Amino acid sequence: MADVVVDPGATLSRLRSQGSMRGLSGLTAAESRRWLPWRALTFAFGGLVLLGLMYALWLPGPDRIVSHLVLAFFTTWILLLVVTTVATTQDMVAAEINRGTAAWVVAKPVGRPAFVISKFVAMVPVVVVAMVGIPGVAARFVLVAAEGNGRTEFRANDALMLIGDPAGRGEYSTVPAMADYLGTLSLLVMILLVIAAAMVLLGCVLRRATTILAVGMLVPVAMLVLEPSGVDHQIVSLTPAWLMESFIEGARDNPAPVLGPVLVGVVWIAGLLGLASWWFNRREL
Amino acid sequence: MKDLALEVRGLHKSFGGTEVLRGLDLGVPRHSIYGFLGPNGAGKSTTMKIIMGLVRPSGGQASVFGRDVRRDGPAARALIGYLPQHARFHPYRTCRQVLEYVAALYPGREPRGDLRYRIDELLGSVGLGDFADRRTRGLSGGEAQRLGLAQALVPRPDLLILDEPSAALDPQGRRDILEIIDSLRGRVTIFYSTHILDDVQRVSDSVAVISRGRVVADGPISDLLSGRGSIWRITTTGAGDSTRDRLAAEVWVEDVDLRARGDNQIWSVRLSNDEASDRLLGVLLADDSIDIAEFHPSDHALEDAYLAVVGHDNEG
Repeated sequence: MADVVVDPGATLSRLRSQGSMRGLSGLTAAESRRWLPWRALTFAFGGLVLLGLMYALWLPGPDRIVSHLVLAFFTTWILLLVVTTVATTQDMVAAEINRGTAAWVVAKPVGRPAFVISKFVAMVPVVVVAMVGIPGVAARFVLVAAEGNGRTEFRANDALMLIGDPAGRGEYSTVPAMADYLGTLSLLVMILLVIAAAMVLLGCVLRRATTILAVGMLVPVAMLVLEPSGVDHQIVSLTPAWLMESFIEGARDNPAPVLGPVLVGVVWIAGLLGLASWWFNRREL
Repeated sequence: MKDLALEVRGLHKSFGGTEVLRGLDLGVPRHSIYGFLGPNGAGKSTTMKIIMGLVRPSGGQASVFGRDVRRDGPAARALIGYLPQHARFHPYRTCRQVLEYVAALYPGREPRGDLRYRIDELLGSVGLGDFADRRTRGLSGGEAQRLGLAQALVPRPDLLILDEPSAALDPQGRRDILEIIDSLRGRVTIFYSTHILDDVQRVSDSVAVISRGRVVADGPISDLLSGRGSIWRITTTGAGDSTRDRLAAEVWVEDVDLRARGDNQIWSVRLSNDEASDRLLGVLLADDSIDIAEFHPSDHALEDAYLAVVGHDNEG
């Protein structure tokens, strides 16, 4: 049997910063390695396959135009994004607690808040790159590819996120507007991140995966129905429902704010994660 | 004042209305191998979980090398390698990835090549050399326990806390674990709980016995055994009732237990001092109705001492 080599006292000199965020970088890196190779690529691949199928089905028809394809694609894709975000984040914390690995990890020199927040931070590039960015860029390439044969003919309100209207509202254009694209994209990203942060909190509070899933599905529904339900806009603008409202208005080709809803979304994410960290911190494992 | 690796003072913990720890005090000297003994439910795992920051104490404090485990939790845990009673790992990671993951959570990074070499060495030392690239979901309980020990050693800890390290292991695995513990003697402080008293007697320098939430005996094993007289095991044939009565009346005999096993009589005699063993042998030889087959000091002195202190506490 090999003798175990140890260096007693060495760790004392290796102690650096302390605090609740200790270990965040290591935890996030490990969590990202878990997410990115598998789930992210699965989402990206799934999105591209979906786009390819729709492209193949729509484009050959003589009266089909690309904007309809993009509209259909993104309508489907956004619904899938919301459902997928809830479904894939419901086990981020609760499963670790139930499996006993949360106790194993927080017995290391890491802060408990770092454990919770690493789950969310690792999710951000997945949402931005794989779930929104790659399908968005892919759709843009489709438009550019179709532009040469005169099939690209769309109006801003024909598509949900990719297509802007630089020539003036209501006019047809063959050039997607990047500013509108990025604005709508950021609203969609923030909606998904607010949902992910809410799922992290639910994972800290609740134990059963089915309960977390059921309650989690109510989050996007609540964001969707708050404004139409007659609640005063002043109140809506203090909630993530403003993100959804602004996103839908933008999709309808109406002027809609981006910066305000995004900032409200950031504040809500910080609040949800703070509450999740506080709850997890008091929990005995 | 002793140089303590782990110090616990007045630790209290209640779950609901049940008081699990009742003012537990403990001092583990640096570089000692310290056994933590106690019956089920005595509070051993709860004590260890409080030290590791997994459970909040209702009162009292614990410190590791002077660092309070609540105020400086991460800093204190940076000095500790911990094996929980039931080792659990992410099922999607391989054994090697588990150790790499643990290494990333501790301060100080080793060059990748050095870390890989050391991980191979650690996995080999716990008998998992061939399991390096196997996912943990396929490990048996004993294999998970071995991996648990390896991951506890990854950070080169100054203090190793092991909760029932050999409970799930076969005899070979148990011996391997004891050899690893023994190989760390003098370099790492080891604080471990167990039910297996033979293990404690084999590798520990000191022990603490916990009963009903507080330490009822602690110190070097030799201290625990001293002052308790000596226990002798005797196997005889033939009836020995009259001799038992005679021994029980002697002032140098503290306790006599006589049980029949088949044709034999098994005696357990506690003497007030070692010198009295000659007198004991004389009394037995004087009885013509019995033949002595075996006469030797007990191999289970610690077990006897443990049962005595725990039993005494339960009576109290």
